[in-house]
Amino acid sequence: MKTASSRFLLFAPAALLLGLFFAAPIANFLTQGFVDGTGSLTLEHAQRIWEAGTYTQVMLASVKISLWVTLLSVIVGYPAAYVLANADPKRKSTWALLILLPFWSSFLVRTFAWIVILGRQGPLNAGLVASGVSERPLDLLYGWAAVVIGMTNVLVPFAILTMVGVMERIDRGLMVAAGTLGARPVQAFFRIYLSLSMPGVTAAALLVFITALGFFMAPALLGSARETMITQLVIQQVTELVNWPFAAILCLLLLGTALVLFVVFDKMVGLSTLSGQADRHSAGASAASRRIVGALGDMLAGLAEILRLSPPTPGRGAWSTHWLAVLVILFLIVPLVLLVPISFSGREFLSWPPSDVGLRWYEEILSSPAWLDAAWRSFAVAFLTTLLCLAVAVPAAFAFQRLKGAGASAAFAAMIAPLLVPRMVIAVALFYVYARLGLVGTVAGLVIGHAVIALPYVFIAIIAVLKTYDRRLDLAAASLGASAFATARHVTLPLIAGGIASAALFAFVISLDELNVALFASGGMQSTLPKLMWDEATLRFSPLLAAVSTLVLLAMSAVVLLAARLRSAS
Amino acid sequence: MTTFKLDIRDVTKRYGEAVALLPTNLQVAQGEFLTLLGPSGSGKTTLLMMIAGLTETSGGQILLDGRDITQTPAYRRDIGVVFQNYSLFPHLSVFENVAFPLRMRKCAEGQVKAAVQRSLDMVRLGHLAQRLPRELSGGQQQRVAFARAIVFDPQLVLMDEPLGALDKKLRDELKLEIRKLHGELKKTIVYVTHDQDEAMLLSDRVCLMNEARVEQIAPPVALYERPRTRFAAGFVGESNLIQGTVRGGAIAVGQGMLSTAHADLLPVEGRPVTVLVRPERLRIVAVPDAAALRGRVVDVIDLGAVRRLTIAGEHGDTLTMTMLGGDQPVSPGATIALAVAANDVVPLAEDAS
Repeated sequence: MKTASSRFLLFAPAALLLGLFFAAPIANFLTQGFVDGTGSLTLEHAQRIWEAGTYTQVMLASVKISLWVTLLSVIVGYPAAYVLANADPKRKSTWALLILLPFWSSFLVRTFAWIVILGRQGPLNAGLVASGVSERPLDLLYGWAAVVIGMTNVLVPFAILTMVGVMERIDRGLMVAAGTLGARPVQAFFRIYLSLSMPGVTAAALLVFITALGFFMAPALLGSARETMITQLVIQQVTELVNWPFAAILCLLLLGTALVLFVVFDKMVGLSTLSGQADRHSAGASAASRRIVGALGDMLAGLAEILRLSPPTPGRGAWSTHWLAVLVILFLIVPLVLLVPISFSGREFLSWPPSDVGLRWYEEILSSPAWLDAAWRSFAVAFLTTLLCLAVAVPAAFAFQRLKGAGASAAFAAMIAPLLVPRMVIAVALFYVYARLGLVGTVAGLVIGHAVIALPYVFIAIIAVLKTYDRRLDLAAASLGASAFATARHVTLPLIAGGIASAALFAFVISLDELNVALFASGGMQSTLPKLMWDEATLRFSPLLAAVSTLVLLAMSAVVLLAARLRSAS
Repeated sequence: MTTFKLDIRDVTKRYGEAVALLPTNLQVAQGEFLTLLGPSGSGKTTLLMMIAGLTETSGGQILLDGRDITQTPAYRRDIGVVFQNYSLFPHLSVFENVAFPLRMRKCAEGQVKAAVQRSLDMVRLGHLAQRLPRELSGGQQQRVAFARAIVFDPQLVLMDEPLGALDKKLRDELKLEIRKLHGELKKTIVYVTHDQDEAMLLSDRVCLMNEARVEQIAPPVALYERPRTRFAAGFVGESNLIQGTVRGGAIAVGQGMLSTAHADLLPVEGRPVTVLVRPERLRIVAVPDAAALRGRVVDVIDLGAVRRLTIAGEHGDTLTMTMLGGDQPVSPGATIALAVAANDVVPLAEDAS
């Protein structure tokens, strides 16, 4: 176990998977953008994209939408993250679950929910008309606002969980100390807490921005042609125009933007902040920005002084922050809950409130071979993806734990690389090589694609579990006469089993919800559940999809609750 | 009636059914160094946190300079606090950490610079002003925390086990430094510790706490010489607790008699009583007649400077005796006679609880 070669062996499965089905396909695919029909290098495609104009316009529009979504996600997520990070342990698990449930629920389902809410016959319009605010239903759907709201709703949990990781490491005693030194609570917040949480805010903004830039579901389902985003163009180039060079250049643009941002982030804050790991890098803001933020805090404190607002009594905490957090959680959960009543509607089209209540759509799903087949395939793929992820991530995590310094950083960066690349780029690149390997539309192709995408999450979860594991127990077992194998079997594995199981369930949920790979890799009767839902939704949105969504939500919630239980038990 | 710097009147703290501090009265004079000494869970930190305004009181009043501050929020109390883990702001330089309370008080920039520099020079860290806290050693961080707590010239300085996280050598060094700084600054300091050496070295008075209440308040030497209870005798210094019976103003112990100079502390004739005799106050005497106690040496530990004897007393208790090393050796098994001055026999009250 101690030699370099055995360590290399532990990393081998990961290197194989990521090398053959991540790095090589992406490199292979991206070069298509700069190769002409005869195989020699050319800038012709790039030039044509530049001259066409539409592509750069779409890129700019995508960046603009992503920036808004990023800003909103961070602002909306901050109070919830604050409350979650500072809650006492008993309440904390409840808060965490309320944020994790929407986090792990299907992207697609959450986007569907906004079609329902914002639709002309939806609850929001019904409410507006009933209360007399508006005479006629408003066109809330198919516009810029709908896209931004829908994407924000999907990405806020990301922002929250990233910020919580950093906030949890802020010593609460510092705020107390600031109080004894004469800082009002609001001053202490702005001068101390906000500064110390900035690495988390930056990390959250980065992740949200890059994920948003690669979105296609929300703009396609909630927006109009003006909100077309770059990923939609990639899909169009691949599936309709079969223009690989253009697809490659657009993907390169996407990937390039992401990588540049990551490099800047790593220099300024440190990549490890993303996984809530070490914080060796300097904590945050420059002196100038600190002064501005500090002055803002002083101003608010002065205002509170003038208004004679009483500060929160020690130990009670600010209830107003709690209410903000509750609002955020309602924003996350209510859309999901609204799908449930719609699914019992007996009408052909969406309407609010649902009428002709019955199980019509559930009967239709359960008697449809296409839906049942897709569901079965999705579960099988998710199960196999989980096994593959564990087989690759567990040995790698054990080997990673013994690495130090530059080797550790490099290994970490390699293992989480799929997280840094927009999923659509991975999916298109895999489609490009699958076509030649005969893997298009096969279960194997799906499983490999999903495993590449889920691997970083599983790896991060497992190293987090190993980090809490006291390695001296292994030494103790060895001193008591246990062989390496016996130690693993009787001591190490039983202690980390819960954590590994919860990591596995996350792989399962990611695979169950994955659409990008399936979008190209499965076709016709080879559909997965998200693919079928997507195809159905692009045609029209009926209560049938609400019923499917309800079933998906139930299944995913069950898995997530199980994972939460396993984790707390370990 | 003089006003005390800090006047604590019937202050109490309950968490539901649990009592963290029974109603407590305590006065601290201007410039005094008072230590709250006691085992963990004795209520000392609770009391300190209530003085700082970081924990709400469940009852009673806290007066600073005669002014009731019980309801004043921490940030307006003008009390400097040194926390056990220092609580230095990790994103601010040493200079900015120390400047923080002055900035909160909107001091002019020039004033801030001068005050911070003076404060850092006082703890001999002026040359490290631009460092970040994590670039300092534990002892240096501790000194920055102290500089930060005094830079705004607070009415009162509270210190919560400030040396708890340091190793022994550094602790000894910093103890002396705190003592020196107290002498120079003439600040009123309330200091929490569970280390009796710290309390003895630093304090003008020690407030010994146990089980959520004050056990005894006395200057360190008085606490050592005249503890009132078994707990006080046991917590501060080493002790021989000897059981006896009151007889004619003295204490009958087995065959012997111990006379005490503190007969006023004895219960009535015929009652059982416990007296304290410190190990170093026992003397071996050659003439058995004058001896009050007899015993057989069970064990001798020679530490060079001192020699420690374990003695099985004829009256039944085991005694510990400390004597200077280097005298004629004592061997285990020998029977010896022990004497003690009347002034060093201290009758103890049964524990108040």
